[in-house]
Amino acid sequence: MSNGIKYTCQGPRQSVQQVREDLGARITALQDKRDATDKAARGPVTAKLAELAKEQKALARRADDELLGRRGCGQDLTALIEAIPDDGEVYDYRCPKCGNTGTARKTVPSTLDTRPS
Amino acid sequence: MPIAASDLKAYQAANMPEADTTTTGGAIAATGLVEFTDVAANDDLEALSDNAADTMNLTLTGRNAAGAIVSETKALTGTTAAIFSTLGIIERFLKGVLASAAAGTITIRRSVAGATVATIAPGKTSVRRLFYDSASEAGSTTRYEKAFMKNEHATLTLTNAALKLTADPAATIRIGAAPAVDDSATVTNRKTAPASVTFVDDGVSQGVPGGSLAAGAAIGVWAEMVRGAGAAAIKNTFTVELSGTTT
Repeated sequence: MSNGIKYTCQGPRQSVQQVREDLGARITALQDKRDATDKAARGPVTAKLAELAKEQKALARRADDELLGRRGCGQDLTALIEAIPDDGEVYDYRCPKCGNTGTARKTVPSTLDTRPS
Repeated sequence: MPIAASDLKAYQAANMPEADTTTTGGAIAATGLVEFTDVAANDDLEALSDNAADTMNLTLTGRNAAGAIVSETKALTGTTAAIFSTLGIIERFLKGVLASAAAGTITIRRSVAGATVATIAPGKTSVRRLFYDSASEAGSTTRYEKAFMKNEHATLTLTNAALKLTADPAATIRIGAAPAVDDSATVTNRKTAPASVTFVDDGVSQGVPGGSLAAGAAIGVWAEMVRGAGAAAIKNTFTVELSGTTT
């Protein structure tokens, strides 16, 4: 039975190492863009590079395997979660879009009949 | 004015257990708060108000380094910090309870003039942690406690309202939205699962039933804490976020 709640995937956990790699790739791409741009028009890209360098510096002291939130996904998992039996057992789920895995558990419904008589 | 983050508040349920034997959950207790930042290192506490007229008693409870639960009741001294010296050095904050609502905002902080542990807004009377004095056992143990997330905006509905477990460093918590807004369901004790609740981990955002939270409405949030057989002691907190859209 539907509980009227929408479940949305938040994506896999991301480690400092992953964020660092993403940041490194962005910086490299921006440096290429800056070098290919006329000197007089480099201002916005240079400012962005300084901002990213600051982020990179902030990450430098953190351990590679430290987790920094989730990467985001947005896949609607409502059907998948609702298909879990309401037997109080823990079930593993896997997002069909990003592959994020986790656990969910549905408690047994109330045995009281709350419908109006 | 659109709904601001400060309009979305977390509250206690009417029954917040301090043992495994008492009723848990119920309706929202709109004078009880659950937001705090634990002491980062063992320390003693002090409290003060931003209103000189606040001289009511405040009882602070914590766990000391030896593992004992300790508390002290002390009269506030307005805007001058009152140091809870009898409480002594604590390793974790458990609760703060005012004898009556204060006129100003009460700040509980590490002494002297250290980091803020919790604030109690005017009209509110307590702040506490969930899963107070709960320990692992010989077998795997699951406990449930309830809190509420409320839209305190005077007129606007929080649309696309969703709950999310944003931090759970000990990886021991799942949360589940109550089946209806403004519900008052209880369980016999905190080891009894609430009916018809789906618990998910921090990988999933769950919408509020019906998708929105009207002005003044609150959604119950059940937290499930699982501790394995004989699991080592943990000192931790978790964070739940209520988000949505506003006009």
